[in-house]
This record gives sequence, structure tokens and C-alpha cells, in this order.
Amino acid sequence: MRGDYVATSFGMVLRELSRKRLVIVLALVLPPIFFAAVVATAGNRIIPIELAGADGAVVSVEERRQSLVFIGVAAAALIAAFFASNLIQQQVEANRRLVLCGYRSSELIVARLLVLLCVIAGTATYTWLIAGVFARELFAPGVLLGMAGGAFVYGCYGLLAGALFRRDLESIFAILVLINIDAGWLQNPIYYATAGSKWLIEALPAHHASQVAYLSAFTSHFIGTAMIGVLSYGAAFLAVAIAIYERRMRVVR
Amino acid sequence: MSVPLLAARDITKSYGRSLVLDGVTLDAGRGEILGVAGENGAGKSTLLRILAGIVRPDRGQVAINARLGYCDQESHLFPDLTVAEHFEYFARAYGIATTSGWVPVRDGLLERFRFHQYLDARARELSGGTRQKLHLSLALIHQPDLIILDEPFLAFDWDTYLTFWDEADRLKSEGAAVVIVSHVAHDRDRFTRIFELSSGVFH
Repeated sequence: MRGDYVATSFGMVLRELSRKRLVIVLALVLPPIFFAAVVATAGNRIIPIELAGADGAVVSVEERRQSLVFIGVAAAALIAAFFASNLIQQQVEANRRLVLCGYRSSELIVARLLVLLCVIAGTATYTWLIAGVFARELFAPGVLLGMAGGAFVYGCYGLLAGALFRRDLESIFAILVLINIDAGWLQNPIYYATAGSKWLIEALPAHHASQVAYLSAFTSHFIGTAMIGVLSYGAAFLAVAIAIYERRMRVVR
Repeated sequence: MSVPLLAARDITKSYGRSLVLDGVTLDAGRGEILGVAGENGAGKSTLLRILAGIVRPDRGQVAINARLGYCDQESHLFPDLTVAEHFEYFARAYGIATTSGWVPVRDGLLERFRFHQYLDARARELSGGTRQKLHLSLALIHQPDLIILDEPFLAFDWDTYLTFWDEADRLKSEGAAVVIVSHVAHDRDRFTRIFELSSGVFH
């Protein structure tokens, strides 16, 4: 692994990404739209929610705040997944040519992962700050960790979708379907409390990240176990994505 | 006898049941411009991708004793990077970024192919012909002595086409070997040797 090669590729990938102005504007607009929709539709009644990460403890929270946490994790996950998919899917042949010219595929992959980390950090921080505008108690660092966790797991899933499918329509479909079902629906603790097959909800990728955010926002419960779940899920997606991408980049010589 | 810059032996490749190359053998020595001609689907591009190391043959060997420059049929570029950034990126890939020697080579290519005015333009803003010029120049920036080109002049206007042949002659005179896939039936006298590929073998 040659640091100067990674640095050059990192700089180029970052430049490419930063020049997609419309995409960046849309990414910036998405969290406020999500939060505004929640504020406009969710009530302020106190509701009981069951938190799997706190051994099924039931806590009473304001519906609107609970919904802000839920939608924040979903928004961060969605944005990170799309960026990640785009990072790995675009210009495969041009990248392959770079490998033919002397780059190692691992250097191109590491450069992309570093850019993805920047995207995850930026997306999670931005979403967290916007959430805090709507409810100050959501400024808790653990909520930021939860949103970053959601962005990490789904960022890695986005990489996997981008590596697996050669065209963006398929990867967009794969991302939308899973995020909608998982982060955008079943991870809402309102559904969890009455769910028949809780194991299914707990097995989904956004579960641990959502728990980190909920536990931090509404309890003082330990979040370490849920964070391990976040990292494990993300690492598994990442390993498969790298293996597929490395195979696609491979040249004979 | 000098070692050939490119030595391909018994190259065989099938896609499914379709035998594309059937034991093709090819050598390229210093100061040669080789042409690989043939009908659409004859396997010319497959052969060049095997020679360049992109595709693995089912059987046979390719030995390259040279710095390779390869230019594919399609211009695979980074749409949101500028022309200057492309050169910088590929200079890093070739391992010449820390030397100052590649900058005059780049400037010479920009000058000869007349696209120096686009140095700060992004690839997505370039015309098809200028994209092709950049695509070709990226294969030459490290001063290779074996250049493998797949239909390199399809998008060129006449002047650029002539410039291309001047460049190929310059490389040849400097001792490089140039292998070109082409449909072009005219200008055959520009080639040292031409191989007609048909039914997977040279004729």
C-alpha cells in the first residue's frame, strides 16, 4: 500500500464528488424535509416505546421526538448509501485502466473508503445538527453516534450494492427497498412493541444503529453492545463489497 | 537477435461456445507499426485486451518486455475531472508523478494534438474527438515503448488523424512498437505488417 498513491486517488475522488453540485444540494435538503414532515405530522402525546437495546425496557417519550430520532437515522442511512453506491459503481473501466497503468486495486479501494468515511461523518453530523434544531435534547453525542452508525452500515450496504450491480437502477432499487423496510419502517419502536417476529427486526442492518440513537436520546443505558452490532454489520457488508470490487478491478498482469 | 517487446503465443479465447481466437501468435519488435484488421466481431478487440493484460486467455501466453501504453476503443475517463487532473492521476499511476519529466511530455501531447486550451475543462465538457485525444494521450504520457491501440482514431477529424500518424511515426522512429486495431482499409502502407483476423486466426 503506497500512501502517495492513496492520497492522489483520495483527492481525485473527493474532487469528483464535490463537483456533483446538484447531488450535494439534494443531500443537504433531504434531512430538513424529513424532519419538517415529522414535525408537521407527529403529535406531542407521550407514548410508550420498547427498546430492544435496553433488554426490552419500556420508556415513555414524546411521539414527535421519538419520530425525529427515527427519521434522522433513516435520512443519514439513505444519503450515505446513495453516495457509497455511486462511489464504487461509477467509472469502473477508468479505474481498471488505472490499475493497468500501475495502481493497485487496494489503493483505489482504500481511497474510496476514506472518502466514504468523510461522507458518513459529514452526513451524520449535518443530520444530527438539524435534528437538534427541532429538539435540543437530541444534541446528545450518542444520537450522533447512532446516526453515524446508520450511515456507516448503510454506506457499506451501498458499497455492496454498487459493487454487485453494474447499473445504477438496480443498486438504487436494492438500496431503496431495504432502507424503506428497515430504517424507514420496522426500526420505528412503535412497530417493535407490537411486532410478532421481533427477531426479524433485530436482524435488520439498521437495528443496532437505531438502538444507539434511541438509548442515547431517551435513556442512560450502555450503548457499547449496540455499537458492536453496528460495526459488525458494517464490516460484513464492507468485506463482501471489497471482495467483489477487487475482483472486478483485477487485471491479468 | 533482440528480444521482441511483445510476444504472444497460441492465444486462444472462447466466450461460451463461440471460439473467438484460435491459437493466435504475434510478435512486435522495436520500430514496428503492426495492424490488426478484420470484420466486426472477428476478435480484434478481444486480442488487444488479452495483449494488454485486461482479459485472461483460455490458453497461450503473453510476454511484454516494455513499458506498455494501452488505449481502449471507448474513452474511459472521469467525467468530473479536468484534463489536467487526468494527466496528474495517470502520472501517479505510472509512477512518474514525482519526476518533472512528464510535464513537458504532457505539454508536447497537448500541443501536437491541439487541445491545450482544454487543460482546465472537465472531461464531460469535451467533444468526442477531444475526449479521444485525451484518452490516447493518457496512454503516451509515460513515454511507453510498446503502445497497444484499439481503433484510436475513430472520433478524429482529418487533421487529427494525420497528427495521429505523425505521432505513431515518431514513436516508431524512437524505437517503440505500436500495435493498432483498425477497420481502416486505406493507409495500409503506414503499417510495417498487417494481420487479418478471421475465424479466430490470422490470415
